[in-house]
Amino acid sequence: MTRIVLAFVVAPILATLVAATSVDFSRGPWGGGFTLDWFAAAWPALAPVIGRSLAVATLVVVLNLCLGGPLAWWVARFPSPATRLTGYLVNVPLAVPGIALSVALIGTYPMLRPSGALLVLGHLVFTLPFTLAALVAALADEELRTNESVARSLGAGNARVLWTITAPTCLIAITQAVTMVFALSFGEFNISFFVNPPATPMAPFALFDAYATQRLEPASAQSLIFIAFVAPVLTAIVLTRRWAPRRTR
Amino acid sequence: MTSPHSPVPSSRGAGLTVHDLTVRYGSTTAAANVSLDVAPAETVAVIGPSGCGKSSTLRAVAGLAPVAEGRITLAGRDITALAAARRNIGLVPQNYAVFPHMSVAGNIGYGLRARRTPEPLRRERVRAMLDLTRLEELADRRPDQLSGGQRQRVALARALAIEPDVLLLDEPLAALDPQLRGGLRRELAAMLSATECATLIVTHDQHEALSLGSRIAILRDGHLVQFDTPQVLWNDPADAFVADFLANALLLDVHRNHDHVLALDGRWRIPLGQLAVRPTGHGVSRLLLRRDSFTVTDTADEAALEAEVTHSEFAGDSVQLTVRAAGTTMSLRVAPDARIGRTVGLSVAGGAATLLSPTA
Repeated sequence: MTRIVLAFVVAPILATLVAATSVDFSRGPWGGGFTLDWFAAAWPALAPVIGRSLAVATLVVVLNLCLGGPLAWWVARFPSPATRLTGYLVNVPLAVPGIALSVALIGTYPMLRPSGALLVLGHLVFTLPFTLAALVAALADEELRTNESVARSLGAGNARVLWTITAPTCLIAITQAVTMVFALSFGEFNISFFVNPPATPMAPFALFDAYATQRLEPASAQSLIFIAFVAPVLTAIVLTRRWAPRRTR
Repeated sequence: MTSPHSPVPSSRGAGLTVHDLTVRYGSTTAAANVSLDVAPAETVAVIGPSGCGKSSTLRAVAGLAPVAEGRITLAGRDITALAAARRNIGLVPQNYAVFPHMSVAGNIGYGLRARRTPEPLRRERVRAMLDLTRLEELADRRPDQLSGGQRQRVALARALAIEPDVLLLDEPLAALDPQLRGGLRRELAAMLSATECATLIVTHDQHEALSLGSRIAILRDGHLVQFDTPQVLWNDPADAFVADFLANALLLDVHRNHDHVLALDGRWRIPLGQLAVRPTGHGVSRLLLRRDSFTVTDTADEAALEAEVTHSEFAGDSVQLTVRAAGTTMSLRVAPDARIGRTVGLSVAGGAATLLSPTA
């Protein structure tokens, strides 16, 4: 497993790093010497794009928690034909090609496109299944429900139970949902490309544009800047798993 | 106590009273017309096989299961429709539900924090509970660093910390290794006796019920079958189910003549002189046979009841036999060196069986 990760994740990133720090990669690794100039040149143009993508990803995370949290609660705690149907419907966008989803959204809600709301909505539709997948299983856990019952019997109200029992117990699931949604939104290309106005591109489109129109070295530098913003999110998953309380049963 | 099977009067104002409780989940009735009471400082055990409604009864008292009919009062308050958080009960579920992200002290103080108890008082109460449950050394440990017995004590301390009007224990020893249960049962009994709290224990283990309960309510198929002291249930069970479930005993209807009784539709004639005779509160003459009540012979004997051996199991100091006679299955115990064939002759060992007679 480690070898597969090294071969298909770490090695391409290292290759990109070599390209991004080479003066002229067409002459081989570090051809013409080592440089960080490509990063310095790429950052001014990329910064507002990264900022825009971060803002959208953060908003999508917040909306996922606000909407996906209660929805996951309903699906987990009140199983019925309606909740099962909801579970199926929420997953439909995963099976629909991004272009089809984008065209459907633009055709249905054109008025939301200029403000960027349609982009956020598109990302929300695309990421909600991942939030539900993480949270429903955690919220349906029998041990958690028993713990909540005991907390209530001890005098805790619903808000206190949610804050002191449910949320800490679901910390891993919440972190998984947040990080997954953030990473998916930040790196999402199809909906961003079709829905978003061209004047305000998102980071994945900027990378596509860089590779299509620029030399390999500055495009690689932009790729690494992009990765640098995703890496902390992935690290958060690992740390949360380490710190999370272990089950006692 | 309101059971028709119990002589103990109902309505104990200061403790817990469950009156004609019915619990339904959709179209399924989990408990029907269950009535019982627990006095302050008393421990009542609710026992029965899986699915008999004992946990549903406990959950209804805790406010965690819907009450379809009936009434629950606690310390003089009608709590039937009250939210769980406002009932002032201490609940210890089967898996103890020790909060995994809190320390031992944090768990014990949880209910006090929820009730906004002032911190000095909270600290003092937590310390008292740590002392009661001998957990002082473990106060800062996390639950995953504790044994099953220690987690049980944490759950008990957490429930007692809020000074509940009633303590509810759901299968308190079921999650522990069988080897540990005896010792922890005695520990639990000692801790419970140190409190003035009414305690309701749900269990399917007759040893737990007999040793922990000052009274026992036995349920079957959602209905209360008998509610009385362990001694009464042991010596005068309401029916064959109670005798079998609580004491592994056999209860046969008998017809009494002047010097003998007839059991199994007259096929077994037992001289009255071989039986201990006790009064019963259940109206009809019955013969109570425990596993040691029999004398087993492998020879044909006119006075003995012929029985077919259906199962034999070596148990170290004895052999457990399951036999069938006149359509009735009986369990009995014989010496390990007894010669057992495919059929045996059963007689009653002198004084080892009891005739429960309304006219004794």
